[in-house]
Amino acid sequence: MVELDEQALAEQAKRGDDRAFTRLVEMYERVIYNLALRMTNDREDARDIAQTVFVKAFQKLRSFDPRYRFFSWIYRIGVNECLNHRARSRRHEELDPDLMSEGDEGDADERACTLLRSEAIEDSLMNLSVDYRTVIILRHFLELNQAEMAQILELPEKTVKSRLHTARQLMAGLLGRRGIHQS
Amino acid sequence: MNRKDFERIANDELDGAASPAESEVLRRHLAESADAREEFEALREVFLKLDNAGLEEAPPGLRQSVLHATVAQRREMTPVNRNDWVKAFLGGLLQVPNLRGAMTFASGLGVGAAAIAIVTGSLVGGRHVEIPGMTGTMAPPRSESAGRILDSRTLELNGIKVTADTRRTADGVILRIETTGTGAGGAKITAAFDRGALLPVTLRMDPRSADEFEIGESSLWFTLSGAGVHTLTLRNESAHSAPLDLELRAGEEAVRASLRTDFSESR
Repeated sequence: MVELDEQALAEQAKRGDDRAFTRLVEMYERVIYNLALRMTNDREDARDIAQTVFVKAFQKLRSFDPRYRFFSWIYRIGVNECLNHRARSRRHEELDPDLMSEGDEGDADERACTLLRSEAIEDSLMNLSVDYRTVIILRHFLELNQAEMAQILELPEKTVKSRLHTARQLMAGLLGRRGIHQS
Repeated sequence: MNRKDFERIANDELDGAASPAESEVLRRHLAESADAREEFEALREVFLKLDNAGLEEAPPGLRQSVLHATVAQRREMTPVNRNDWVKAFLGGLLQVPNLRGAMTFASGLGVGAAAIAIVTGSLVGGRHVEIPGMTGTMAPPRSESAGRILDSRTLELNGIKVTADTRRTADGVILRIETTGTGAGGAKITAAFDRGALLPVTLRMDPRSADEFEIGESSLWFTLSGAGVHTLTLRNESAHSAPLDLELRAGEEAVRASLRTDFSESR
């Protein structure tokens, strides 16, 4: 029922109904903001990204195909905008942005030693590669299933599943190093 | 159980996706291996920590910022609908009986001149600000001014004159604000409305007369830099109605008025 309402709203918004678009913003502002917040760990950046996501959605509404689910569409814009933000800010990063990149999980323990001063889950998330961070956020914070994640990320479900498993293993290693699981 | 199968089944178990047979295999493996138990507990802890982290509330004002930004986007994106203007212009002339005969001769000359002016931009000079649903710059009054007038008020302050009226539409109200007077520069107009009763839908500022504006869930304000006519379309969100409050402010001085948004209201 919720999905049908959402699809109907998306179609109305596409036809220029501003009330429908406003309603969609109301429905998604929290999750899009949290997606951006977990991806950046910065509230100001997250707010800017969330606003950009909705403005882009507004601009692209005419190209939205109502045969597809609206949430996948807006999440996809959200993930892309987070990646764009990362690419823009990457130039200013002093730390190695490829820390724990895909395929480097074997070195996770060694690299986790650099994180001893950090204590929060958010810090652990930020030290995952963006690919692993994304699947963790989509699955555990936005509560999407693997099929939905595959649709949003435009990846085979098998790849999403594998990436998610590795990401969790890395998180377990990082949190274990910090003793968080014992607290 | 090999390493790959253990990781897959352990994750599926915690995801609630493992089959009964897989759960049983995992249970037996955990009973036999202390290392596997430790690893599984660490993974379970990750699930618990992540799933209980929760979501933060969106920051206050995010929605309003989005609305504001989309208004600005629309301002940049929406081309002036010059065809509508021409249609309205000609339609208005054709509704005057005495002019119909003259139109045969004059239309060629007049439309030609108008077309040149429009194409060169000399006639369409105003900035057009809108939220979706409205098109046209310098167009003759259309549907937004055709509604039944509910209320009208005039505010005057330091040589600035603001005439505002509310008009009934099929599904809401239009607030029309006309400003005149040479002293309008820097003055600010604020219209506040009941958030539960009315939803702002479109804003039309015509011609270029407002340098700054902001439209929120329960108010609109803009600064004036000259004479102009501005229309804010509001949709009824409920059967409830409440007056719309208008304020004209210049520096420390301000004058206010309330306008009905429904015939049943008392002011």
